[in-house]
Amino acid sequence: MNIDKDYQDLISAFAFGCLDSDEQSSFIDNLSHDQYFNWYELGEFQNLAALLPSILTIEKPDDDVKSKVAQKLYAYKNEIREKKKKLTIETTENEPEKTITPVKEELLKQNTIENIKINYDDKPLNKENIKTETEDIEIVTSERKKDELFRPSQATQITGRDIKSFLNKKEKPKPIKKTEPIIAKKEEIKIEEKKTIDKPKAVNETAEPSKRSTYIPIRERKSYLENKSKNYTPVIFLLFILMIAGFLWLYLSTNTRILNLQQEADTLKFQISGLTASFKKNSDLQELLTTKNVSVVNLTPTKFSNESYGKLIISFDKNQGFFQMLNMPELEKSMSYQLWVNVSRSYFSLGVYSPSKEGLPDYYSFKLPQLSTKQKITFIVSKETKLGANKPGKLIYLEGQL
Amino acid sequence: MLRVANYDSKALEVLYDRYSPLLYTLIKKIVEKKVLAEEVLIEVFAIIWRKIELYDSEKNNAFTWLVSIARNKAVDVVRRKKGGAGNINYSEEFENRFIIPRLSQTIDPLDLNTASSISGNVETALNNLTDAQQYVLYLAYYEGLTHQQISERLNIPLQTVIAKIKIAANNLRENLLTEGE
Repeated sequence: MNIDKDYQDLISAFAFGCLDSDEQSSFIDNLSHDQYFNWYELGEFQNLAALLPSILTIEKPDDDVKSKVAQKLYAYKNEIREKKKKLTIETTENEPEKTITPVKEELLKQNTIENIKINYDDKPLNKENIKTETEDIEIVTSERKKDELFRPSQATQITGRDIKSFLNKKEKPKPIKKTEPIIAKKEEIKIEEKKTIDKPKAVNETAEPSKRSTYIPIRERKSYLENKSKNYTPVIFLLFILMIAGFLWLYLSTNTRILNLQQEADTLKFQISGLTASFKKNSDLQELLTTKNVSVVNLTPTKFSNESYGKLIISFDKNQGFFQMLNMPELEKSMSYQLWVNVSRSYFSLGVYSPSKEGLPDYYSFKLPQLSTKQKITFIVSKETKLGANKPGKLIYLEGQL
Repeated sequence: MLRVANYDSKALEVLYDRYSPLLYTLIKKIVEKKVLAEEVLIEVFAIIWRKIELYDSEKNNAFTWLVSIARNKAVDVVRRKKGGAGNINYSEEFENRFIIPRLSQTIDPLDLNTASSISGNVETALNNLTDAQQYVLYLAYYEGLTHQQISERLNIPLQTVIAKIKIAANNLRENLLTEGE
């Protein structure tokens, strides 16, 4: 086959990979030297050929293949290291070629609004820019999961003259859409700039009308403000009064509350002291009950107190006793009950007691004189004055005998 | 791909995650055996890693570049197994010349997402070809037969095979354009 003559006809065969090695070598050699070679057709067929596997049912390789790939690549580490070094050196060598001036110029150009517009109008988008963008997208999107392999396209990559070749019409405008926000932003900036320029002009040219345009003239506004401040005085005064009244009320209510609390505290203190005394009596009673020679004397009522009764608990070892009286008639303020012991026809006062109004059972302690239990001992409770009497009166309420 | 071109291994891993299912499917379609397909896939990624400097980032067509490497490598394996690769040793030069694709200077950019989004259109366009056209393309692309071998297989003149491939490719392009509209 005459490859030199027919190689233009072999573009599709080359793209679909059905040339043998000799034909392929010749084809490559020819196209390298042919300035009229139909690169456009070759590119389309190459893309077409590459698209063929996209219709296959996708299978995933086993998971261990990835690690095998990694192992395989590791074998090339030295080779890659060398290439990397070479790449770094080339990059550093090429760096000075990139001058800063064009960037600066570009920035200066873009500082003026007119230039932005000119830039936009003259250079709507150049292919290189799109390429760079899509390359970036390619990298970023490459971090998607395997499952997303056949996700709908973002359609950012096919641009330029052959955009019709592989994309639907719907997908075509997408790269252009990308530029729209940029354009819009530029226009916005332009409008804002105009506004700032227009403002001073309006003030200078129409200074008076602008003042008149306010709904109240300045003089009127002043008086209005003065009136307004006058009107506020009673309100402020009223507020002040209200504030003072509020503080006063707050002070009084707090004070009353404090007094109430103090009263409560006093009551509690009194109760505590009563409870303490009661506790002491109880403990004394318990102590007395533990002694050896304890006697209990039941006090019975007389004609003055039918329902009254009482008890005496006496320890002759300690010469101490406790006295309890119950259901006793209510006493006048100046009167009390007095406990007496009668030994050998002589009465000895053991104490003067005023039972509580609530009639609660209570113990009163008393001291006994030295007594002999062999003789007859009687006890009586008489009604006497608060100060007590030297000898019992006629009003005897309780009596008992040991 | 730019990061891969800077020998960024993480980027290659990402590339593997994205492209390995498609490349593996293609390779398996060509070599037919699973184990062999996996071996070829490993080789393909090794080639990508070693020969990334041959990728022209300005063309921005990673898809066609990667698919072509996988297809060429798989076909080469099949041809060598069948003894159809002649006596050519597999060398760096061979790899650079016959495995690494020489993409057109004016090729349109294409990526995986775009390709997958139009795969339905490709399928329809392919189905609209005649059986003969489909078969010729199949023999060429997946079976890796040269046009000479296709001619022998189908018992038709070589020029007819070349013409049929050309017509099939043109029709496929036209059908895809129609589908795209």
